[in-house]
Amino acid sequence: MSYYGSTDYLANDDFVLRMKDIRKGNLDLGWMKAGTEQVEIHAENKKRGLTYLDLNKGSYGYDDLEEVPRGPRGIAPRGASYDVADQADMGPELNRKSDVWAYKVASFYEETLSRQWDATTDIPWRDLDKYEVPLEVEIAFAQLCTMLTEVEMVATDLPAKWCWRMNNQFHEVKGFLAGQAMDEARHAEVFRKRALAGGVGLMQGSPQAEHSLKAILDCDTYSEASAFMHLLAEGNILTMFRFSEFISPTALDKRMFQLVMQDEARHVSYGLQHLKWIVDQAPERREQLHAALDEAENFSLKQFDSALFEAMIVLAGKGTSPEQIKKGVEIVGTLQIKQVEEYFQRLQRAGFGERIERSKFRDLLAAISLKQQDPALPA
Amino acid sequence: MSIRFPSLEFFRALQQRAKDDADVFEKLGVCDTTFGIRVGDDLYRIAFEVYECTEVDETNDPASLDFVLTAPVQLWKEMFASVLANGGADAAHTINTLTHVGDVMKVEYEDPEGHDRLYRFMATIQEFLDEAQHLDVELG
Repeated sequence: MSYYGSTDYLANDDFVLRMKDIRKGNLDLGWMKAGTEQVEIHAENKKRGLTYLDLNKGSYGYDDLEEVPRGPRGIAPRGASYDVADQADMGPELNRKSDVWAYKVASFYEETLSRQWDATTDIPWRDLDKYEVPLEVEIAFAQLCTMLTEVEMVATDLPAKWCWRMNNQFHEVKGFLAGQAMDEARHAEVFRKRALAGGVGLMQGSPQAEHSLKAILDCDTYSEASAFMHLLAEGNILTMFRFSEFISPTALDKRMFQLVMQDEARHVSYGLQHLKWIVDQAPERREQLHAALDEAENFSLKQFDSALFEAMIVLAGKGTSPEQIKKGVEIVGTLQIKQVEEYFQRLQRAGFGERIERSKFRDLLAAISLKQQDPALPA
Repeated sequence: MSIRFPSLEFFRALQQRAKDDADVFEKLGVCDTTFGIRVGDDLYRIAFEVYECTEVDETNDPASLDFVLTAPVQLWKEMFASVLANGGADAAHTINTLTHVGDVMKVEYEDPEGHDRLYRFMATIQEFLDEAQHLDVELG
């Protein structure tokens, strides 16, 4: 315990007397005159239900929330009355709307809740025995699941790390991040379950990926972390989930990747919209984000450690014969090109297209002989 | 009476099936996207709002769509044959698999945000197409 109250309430006569008075029925009822705004609220779409978007009105809404909502550093919900002097200072570090906000974040929150699924019951685990998968393919799949479990554990930690540092005026963002933490925890769960249920168990940890993941967790600001994780890393993982669905040896695995893909795409969309918000509302922070992405891209270059890279080749080629490896190398090369191209497209969409000229990825594909020239720039 | 594929009638039958299986689509969650399915030269517009497929029509305006799944008639027939035979697309014929490598089926889009909706709502879109398993389809 490090936060001690300034008053011992059992020794405070005023407090004790007031409690006794209330128990006698002498109510003050001053709290009933909080003077807060009354607004007419109803669900715009009855099937959808009452959403945060429906609450976006007046002092309760987020459209009118200022870039710096001065005053509230405690937990008084947006729109409630409060006295700054009486509030506990929760010490939020992210107090500017542009630190955290994203276009459409309330919609992303609603989508997060609506599209939750259950790794225990929504994957037809009992069907796993129906499929005969070559042992080397199953081992490669277990290696992929091992690496993805590591990724998802950090992806769980990161939103949790930043969520409590945000001013409570930004509760839509905090809700979205809480949902993301749940998504990522479920992903770690499902990949762990899959590796073990397949009979092989977990394989090697991926130290190179771990260094990249640590770099995400250690970003100096939330926006840097978001650009690294939501836009770049999760964009890469989204493409990898698509690849994994493509090469999945069983229908069960395809279902698993379809479901994780949906969550990941939502996180990427939030990252794009947060970057766009910064570009539009705080353009002075462009260089800071460029510097962060310089390093993020550098770390991302080495995320494919040899165990993962080889496992993906075995999965894509469906085996380890020379012909299968040749086919696997071609398919994995396609994946890496897609990752870079889709990242560039998202940068462009966020209004951050100048990043493409500076990106380390321009040279990557040529360096690893995947493509003789730069990936095509988005129109 | 069998329904011919490709035809507007076929996609409207899928829409009705999705309404009949409302519980399945509610379980998958909200889905807000308007996308296209191009079968040969014909482009069909499919709109989802909240849990429901709200619109199926023909269109010649791909710019109004989040993304368009484009493939020759023969590939769509092969995909729906798989759906009919297996009670849903088999491993080689899911939308993600067909669109991922080699441009077997193309995903056309102008806005990467629209493109990402394909992945945000992948399970719903796959379920919608898998509804064909309940139809009497004439693939020709």
